[in-house]
Amino acid sequence: MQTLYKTIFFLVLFGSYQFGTAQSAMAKKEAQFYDIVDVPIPDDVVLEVGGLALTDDDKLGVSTRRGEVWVIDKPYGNSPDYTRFASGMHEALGLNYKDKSFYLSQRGELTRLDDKDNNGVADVYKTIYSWPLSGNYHDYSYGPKFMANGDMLVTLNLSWIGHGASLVKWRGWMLRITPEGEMTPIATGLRSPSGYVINDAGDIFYSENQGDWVGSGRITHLEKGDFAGNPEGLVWSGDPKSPLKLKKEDIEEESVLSLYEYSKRVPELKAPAIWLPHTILGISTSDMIYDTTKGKFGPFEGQMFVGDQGHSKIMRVYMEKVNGVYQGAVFPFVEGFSSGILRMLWGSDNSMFVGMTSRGWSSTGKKMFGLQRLKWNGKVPFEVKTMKAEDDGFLLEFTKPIDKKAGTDVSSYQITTFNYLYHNTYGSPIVDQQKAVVTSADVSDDGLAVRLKVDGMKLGFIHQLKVADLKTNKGESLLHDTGYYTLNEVMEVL
Amino acid sequence: MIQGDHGAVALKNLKYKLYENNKLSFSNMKMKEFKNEDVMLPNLDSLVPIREIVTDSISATMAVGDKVTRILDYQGKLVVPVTGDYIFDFRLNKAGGLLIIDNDTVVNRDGNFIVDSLGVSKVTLSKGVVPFRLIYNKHNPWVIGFSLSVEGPGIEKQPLHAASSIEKKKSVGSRKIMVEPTELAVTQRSFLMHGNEKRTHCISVGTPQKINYAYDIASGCLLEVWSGDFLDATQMWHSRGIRQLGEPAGFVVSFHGNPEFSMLKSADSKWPKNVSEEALQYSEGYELDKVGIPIFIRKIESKIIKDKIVPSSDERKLIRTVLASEEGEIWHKVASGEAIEKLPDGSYIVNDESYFVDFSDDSLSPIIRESDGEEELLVKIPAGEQKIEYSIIW
Repeated sequence: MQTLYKTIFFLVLFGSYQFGTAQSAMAKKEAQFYDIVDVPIPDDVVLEVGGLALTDDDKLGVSTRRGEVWVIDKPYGNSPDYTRFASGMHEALGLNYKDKSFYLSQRGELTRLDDKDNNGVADVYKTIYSWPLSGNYHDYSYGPKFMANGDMLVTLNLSWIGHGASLVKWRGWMLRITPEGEMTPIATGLRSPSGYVINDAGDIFYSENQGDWVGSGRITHLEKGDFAGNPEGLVWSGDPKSPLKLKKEDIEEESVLSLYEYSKRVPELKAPAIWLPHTILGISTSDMIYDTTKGKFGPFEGQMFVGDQGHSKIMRVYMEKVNGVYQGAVFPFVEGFSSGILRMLWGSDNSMFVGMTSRGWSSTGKKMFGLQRLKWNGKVPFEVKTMKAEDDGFLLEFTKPIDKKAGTDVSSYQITTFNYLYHNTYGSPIVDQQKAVVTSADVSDDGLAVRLKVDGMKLGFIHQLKVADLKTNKGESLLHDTGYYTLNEVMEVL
Repeated sequence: MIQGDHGAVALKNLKYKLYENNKLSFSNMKMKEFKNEDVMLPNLDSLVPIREIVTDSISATMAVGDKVTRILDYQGKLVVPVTGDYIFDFRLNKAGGLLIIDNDTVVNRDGNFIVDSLGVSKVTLSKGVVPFRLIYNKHNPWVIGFSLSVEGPGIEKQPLHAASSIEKKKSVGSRKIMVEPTELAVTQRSFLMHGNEKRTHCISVGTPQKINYAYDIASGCLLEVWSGDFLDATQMWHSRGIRQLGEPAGFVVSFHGNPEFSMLKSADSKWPKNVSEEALQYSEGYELDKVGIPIFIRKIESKIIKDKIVPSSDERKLIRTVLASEEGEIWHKVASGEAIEKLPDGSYIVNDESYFVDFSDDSLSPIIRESDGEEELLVKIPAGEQKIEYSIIW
């Protein structure tokens, strides 16, 4: 018996040692193309990252869950300098910088920080707009993001009382706030909107976490008056400022429909542009940034990167607009970060800062908090670069020319369609899973694209693409062989 | 609370109790398990159990399964070792339940109750066996746990539930996260309890002089003061920080908590107690001075108010300076309480020496008025640039 205990103890110890330090096999492969580099953090700094922003002089501002703002000089080197610019705020889960001021959301307000006497430490904590709080810990507030005209967007998390709930105005909403503090509610149906981004066209996307009414992680294009799915925020739709009149009671709790199907009944309900399958491509979707590096971060210019808090990893999204509706595909990108990813930001050297926290929500990366950079090493991975929907199939583009023989073989491609239920319970099983059939595969002359004809494409479904054995013409395997396309529309054939 | 600076302390009427080695136990215990999602208990007679077992212990963990909601209904006999008064304490972890002894519902916790809430009942029992029934309604899929403890004549408090039934609260004492000032004052925003009310837009200010205070930015009022150590942030910064409270590390003297500035229509108008949607926007934030003390800025309709509260270096005293500017009159509520009295030296005493207010300038002519059974000490601030200064001493 004694020996047995010792063996078990040894196994446990050894097992956790392995778990704590070893890179996953996938992370090892990804590291051939992208390096994850620590930004060193002084021992006495609890850098539970809530927000990231670069200053005009290329210093990195970091807001934290303990309500501080740190300004990091030389964040690209081995010995960055940390200055505490501001402190004492209430869980700052966002950060921005404009005209020499930092802007951030605290739990209860949007704040501007100024350094009037220019000593490197904030002396003005200007309240731009206050919103009520219920006293529930889950009343998180995120942002701001700047719109083209200088107005700001913030998002407000639902409270948690055994389920999400909007206990005070405007929980579960996205708000637009002018620098002078005029507030307009934009959209609701939000549950846990920790990540949102504005694209070049000025369109706003927010990411959502699996939960009540949310079958899986997803990204939704939000426009004024949209309802994104969780009905709790609709309790305020009677307010004169509300851009929509839909009531919470209008939404059936157990319709047995997908969100897409239900959105055909309720015009305010916006179907997501992207679904991120739960436990496969993350468990708690967070920040999003567009690749604006003009090719300095690899072959994915213009695409979106999406963080995940629980899985400590980043996904890649190719989005397109079909019939005026956003949709697209999500692929794995890089995993193996040190803590739970909440924020991502481009550095001036075109590396990606990744800010993390896992306090209260454990993550695959075991550290309580962290700040790392993701750097491209110049080598191009073999990946499915884009996946576009056509009226009778998909067009895939690759980062390298494919082997034409395997590329024209329809058995190289497996497509499965599935969906999630739109209901008031937490998460959803995968439903209506079905195989689609690839009937032809035409490879382009340069070998960089293949046009798949597919039987069994379904509107409102997620289309899983698996290309396990396809290689480049030099025999290189795909770094990630699976992607998920959310099909909302197909091109209207004229 | 006993503090070190209150002089000699006498403890009287000490009592003790001798414990014998008696225990209560169960016999003929059966458990029925039901599916249920409702917070309030349904009529169990109308439900069909999903299982029924004989057991010798009671534990919440008998509700097996991932994120399930269940009712456990235990029925059997309680073996009572000696006749006398017994005190039962039935606690539930975000659940509901009933404790029924000798066919009498002695603890009714039907609904949603947390572990911190006492479920106590005193029951006189005779030596022998009595019918016992405990119903546990686990209606929250995310949490599990109940406890039942008892103490009796010569019987030390003991658990009647199995050890697995509830997770023991980990002591956080060893890993308290404190906020303390350095050579400068320090500020920290948090939720804060004001009496029984949770305030959500509060900022606490800790000074090197160890005179500390909390201010409610939403209401615009000095909320409480304390001396000594500053703020315990454990409830905010440990794990998720479910309560999200900053906790003053010392004994607090608490003030009225109403908005302190208001455009009263007349000297008889009622003082506003709540923060309206519009009033939530009055705060313009604050600026820190060279030693880290905030100057709170409020814009109330036409008026600008700048409010600064600094500690005294050698006594429990705060000196408050209010600057008002722009058009219009505004009222300032300095204090309120059961009784406010003006002393011969010109200072005011609030609530039987809970604290004193001393104006440096008596040209202000503060008024004491009665409103809703309380006395209020008010100052009318005229239009234009005005400065008011007073001390709060406790």
